[in-house]
Amino acid sequence: MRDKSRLSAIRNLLALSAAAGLALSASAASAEKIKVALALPGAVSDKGFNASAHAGLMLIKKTLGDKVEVAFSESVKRPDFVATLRDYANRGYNVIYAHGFQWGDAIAKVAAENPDKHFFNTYGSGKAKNLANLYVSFQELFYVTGQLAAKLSKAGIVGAVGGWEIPPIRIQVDAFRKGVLAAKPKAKFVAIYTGTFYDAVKGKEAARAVISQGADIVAHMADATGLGVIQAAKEKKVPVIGYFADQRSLAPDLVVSSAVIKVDDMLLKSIRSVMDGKFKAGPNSFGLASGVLEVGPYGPMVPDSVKAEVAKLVADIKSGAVKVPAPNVPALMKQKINKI
Amino acid sequence: MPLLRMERITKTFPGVVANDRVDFAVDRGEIHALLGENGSGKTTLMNALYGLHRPDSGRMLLDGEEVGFTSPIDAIAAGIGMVHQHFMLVPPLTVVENIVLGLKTANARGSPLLDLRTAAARIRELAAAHGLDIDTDAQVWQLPVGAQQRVEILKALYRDADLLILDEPTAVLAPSEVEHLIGVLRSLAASGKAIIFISHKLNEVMEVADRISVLRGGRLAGTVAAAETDPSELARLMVGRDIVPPRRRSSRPGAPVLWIEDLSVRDDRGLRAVDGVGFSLFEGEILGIAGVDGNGQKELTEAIAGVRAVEDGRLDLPGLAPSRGARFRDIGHVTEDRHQTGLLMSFRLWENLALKSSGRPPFGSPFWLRVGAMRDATVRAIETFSIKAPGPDIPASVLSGGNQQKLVLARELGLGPKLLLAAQPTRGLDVGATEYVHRRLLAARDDGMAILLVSTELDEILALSDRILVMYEGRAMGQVNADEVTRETIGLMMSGIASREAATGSAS
Amino acid sequence: MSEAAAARIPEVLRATSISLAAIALALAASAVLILLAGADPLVAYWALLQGAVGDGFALGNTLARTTPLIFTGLAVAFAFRCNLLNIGAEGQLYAGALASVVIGIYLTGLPAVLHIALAIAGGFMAGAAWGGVAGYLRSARGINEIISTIMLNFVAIFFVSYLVHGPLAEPPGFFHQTAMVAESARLPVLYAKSDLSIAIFIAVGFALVTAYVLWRTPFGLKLRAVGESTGTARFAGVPVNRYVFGAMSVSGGLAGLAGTTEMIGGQYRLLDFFSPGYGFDGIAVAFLGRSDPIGVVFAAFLFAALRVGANQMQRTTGLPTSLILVIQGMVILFILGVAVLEWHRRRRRG
Repeated sequence: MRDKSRLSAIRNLLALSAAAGLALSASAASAEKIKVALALPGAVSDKGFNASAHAGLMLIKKTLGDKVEVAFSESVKRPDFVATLRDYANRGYNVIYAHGFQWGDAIAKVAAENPDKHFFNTYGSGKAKNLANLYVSFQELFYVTGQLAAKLSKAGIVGAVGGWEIPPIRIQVDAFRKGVLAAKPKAKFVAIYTGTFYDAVKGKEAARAVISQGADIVAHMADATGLGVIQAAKEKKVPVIGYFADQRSLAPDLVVSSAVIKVDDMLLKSIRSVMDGKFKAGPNSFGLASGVLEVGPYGPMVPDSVKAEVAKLVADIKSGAVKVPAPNVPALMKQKINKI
Repeated sequence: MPLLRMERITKTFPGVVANDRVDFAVDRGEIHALLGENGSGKTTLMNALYGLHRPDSGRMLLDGEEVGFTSPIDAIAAGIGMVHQHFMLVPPLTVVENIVLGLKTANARGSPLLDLRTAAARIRELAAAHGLDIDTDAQVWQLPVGAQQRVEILKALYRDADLLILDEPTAVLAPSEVEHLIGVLRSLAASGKAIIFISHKLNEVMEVADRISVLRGGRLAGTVAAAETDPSELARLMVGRDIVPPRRRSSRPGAPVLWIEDLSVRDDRGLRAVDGVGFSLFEGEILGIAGVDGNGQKELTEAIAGVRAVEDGRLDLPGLAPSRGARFRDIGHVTEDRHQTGLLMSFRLWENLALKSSGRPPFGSPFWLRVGAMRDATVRAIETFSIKAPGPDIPASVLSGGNQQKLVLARELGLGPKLLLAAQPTRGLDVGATEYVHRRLLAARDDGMAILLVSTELDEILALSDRILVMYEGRAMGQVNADEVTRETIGLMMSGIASREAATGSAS
Repeated sequence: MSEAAAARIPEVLRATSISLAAIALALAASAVLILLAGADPLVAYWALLQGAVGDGFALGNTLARTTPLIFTGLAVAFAFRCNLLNIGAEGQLYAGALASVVIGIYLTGLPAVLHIALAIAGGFMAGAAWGGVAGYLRSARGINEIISTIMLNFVAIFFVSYLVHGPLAEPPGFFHQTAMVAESARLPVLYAKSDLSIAIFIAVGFALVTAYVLWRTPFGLKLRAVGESTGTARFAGVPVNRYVFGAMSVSGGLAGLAGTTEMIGGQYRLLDFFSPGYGFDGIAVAFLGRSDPIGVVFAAFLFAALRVGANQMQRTTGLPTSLILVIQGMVILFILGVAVLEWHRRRRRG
């Protein structure tokens, strides 16, 4: 199904580019179209990092329809970063996305060369007047899910399984821990990192280890590795918090909620900022208030009282009444972790 | 009607007419020698017969039927067997396995399984009928060269060959083995097989053949009956002129160059190949090392050359440079195997010639090569050693075997070494080239070079050496003065019989 | 020009036309795949050509990509002249990149010429050390260099990965990448539009030096002698083991320079998995260039044009990247297939 839509997208693209090539002067009407390009370091079929950004591009296409024309390059190798971005700029693309911090140098350079165009880099840190770096304030969401977990834990022991121990995952796990302790200062928190996003078997092993230490609710921050965590939860009948998308369908009786991260929505919001003239260079953070992050739909086992408490916390964070401190990454990276 | 008749066979390669309207025929029960110098077209003719390439024109009749083979498979199916100079055997397989290898009918009753026992029985039958004694279960690598040759012959017989081609079969054999082979061939002929015996050795073909066809420059120089000719007529047919063997003057030995006592050396398999040998060698003399192949001569020369470790004993080279690098230039080494240890086949002639002296004047410095000087030296060597080559830039592989050997000789003598190790210096060479190499060796000796000549050819040893050391199973059977010894005495010593009375020289 | 060199010209023309014919065949075969994917092969190939050499931007990209391929191609060719198959150019490239980046970041306050020279020397030596490990294992322990270099690739690549995730990560450590090398260690840019630096001249220069070493020095002659026949080389007094070690070291050094020029010639900082397989492409480049340093330069350009042009083709046509990779693979297979056939033909004739 996905392939079909890919193919039709390709056909559309071909038709578009052929038409554009044939009659440049006749394209006055389409000149007002925003041409959007996305460059990805990996394959869009990875069901994770790259797929999330590709979904954003598709969301832009679906939502904005005729107002935009989209293109993307996947699996771009590092030596080709600059050439790829330059090529899009040369060919008249005026909003250019690059996905991943590793594009920072390349996109800052090409942005400086093309001051009339807008550039976005997810998780990047490059600097240019027309370059915005898009961040997700993960700590806000996971602080909330941490509290949710602590409130649902009867034993006072909460577990978490992380993927690869790269900074964003460390931030998520740590914010979750802080949430747990904020809700129940005496609670015990057990976390294990698997070092991978693609190994469900390892995820299952890690979850079993966490559960064997007494955890009666488990969260995961591990993409496909997390599928194994949910499997283990099903075996041991332990409630679990989903990750990235609403994961209730994987275990309807056990998934209490999910930490929903809508990268696609972030891309759509960022391009709207260009259209509305509200583009802001430098870091752009997207937290609970932006709607990019949200606490996903609850499972039937969550009491209404807990739902209300969580809703209030979310509202307080959105309003600024409760502040979740930004993570101190270097200190965080130095902390000792458990790994299998 | 002859079994095989080849008529007006012509084959050209770019720039060369390898066979020019050659007529050739073999009868059943006949041993027919094909004689000629290297490059005279013997191999081309036989390759045409064996299906390795097709002649440009001419025809071949087998049993009166015209045939044209496109591959050796066709030739084998038609009853032609060939024993190549370099054996086509798989060393780790046993004799039986080698013989049935590639045959679809190795098994009985069309079973998909190998029936080696039945095969072995038939092989033993064939072997007994013709005196080809062989251990059918031995692995081929364990067998001496002569036995490997017998495996090749059996391979052809097992495939029901009526016509057997043997390419230079005696080149690798000891004298006693040659006699054995001749006996086998006679027996095969008597049983009705036709045999083509390729050789360039006059005495040998006189002894073995019924008829002799001589090729020269791609053309048939003549076919004669062995009973009605003599070696000098054959030599004339082969070379186109009379051959005069070189005369050896008496030697005037000088200072010692090589001094060996109680030397022991191990071979590649770790077995002791040289066992307590001792001798000395002086300037201006040739010491011949006689012996059947594989009795430690190779290991002995390699130890002297510094490419094989000495296990025990004393090996002194008085007067030679002590440093390892310089020693390689002080010792000339004509190695036994041009392909493996003598030449770089795909390299240009000048690269081969300058290999040992590159990086030194006049061929440059450690950081650059003077290619001009190297090419000039090669052009001179081509002239001096009458190497048949169009120029110094062609690869060594293009040269014929004899010319390759001359190139090796030019390199090793060109360095002006104090000691020359000449291992089988004329192996595979024709009469003209052999004569030439012999003259050069004698001239070098007369100029004061010390030469250690290793050869399995008794005639060569006797023609060149001042003193002769016979080796058998790694030991020195005795040392004799070349002028005071008979062929028979040395032949006995080569078979391991130490005859104290025969050793008229001082045995060490 | 010597007679020998003059005699080679028709041979080079012949080899070139054969390679071009192979490419044509491969493109014809790939056209079927492109049609099946619903695109017009002519449009796709025009994009490929435009993307590779269509204008200054394209040519600059191609030349920038040629640089590392020249080095890895030279590395494999050099070892192959000594009859050694260096599959480890990729790992040696990482070793060279690591050394150059460390020198580029942590040695500061040097004049540019000196800083660049040090980065290059460091990259060569680190690559040489890594290649030398395989050379030592082969010459002293008899361990097959194909296996050891494959294993050493993993060690180098993942060691770099470990370093950029921790010890060498750019402060504050949020991103798994090193800091950027100092301005003084960066190679001057030739053509800003495409990031082409003078690294291309360094690469061609090294090709010429390598050719000189192989054909015009005693070291090269003996090294090639070892490659042609160990027996003959040994009997001629060449210390074979030392030459095997030396050949692997120099080969590793050349591969290391591919990493160096990537670091100080364009990428400026080290990330894990930064090389798109230059070391492995180098094997094909060396084969296509017939292990001749000058041939390697042309082969590297051809490969780079193919890689860069294919990227453009993907962006223009929107064909899936996997299909683009299949087409590239087919072109490489056809070229190598024809090269191997030609090689056999020459051997038979020889």
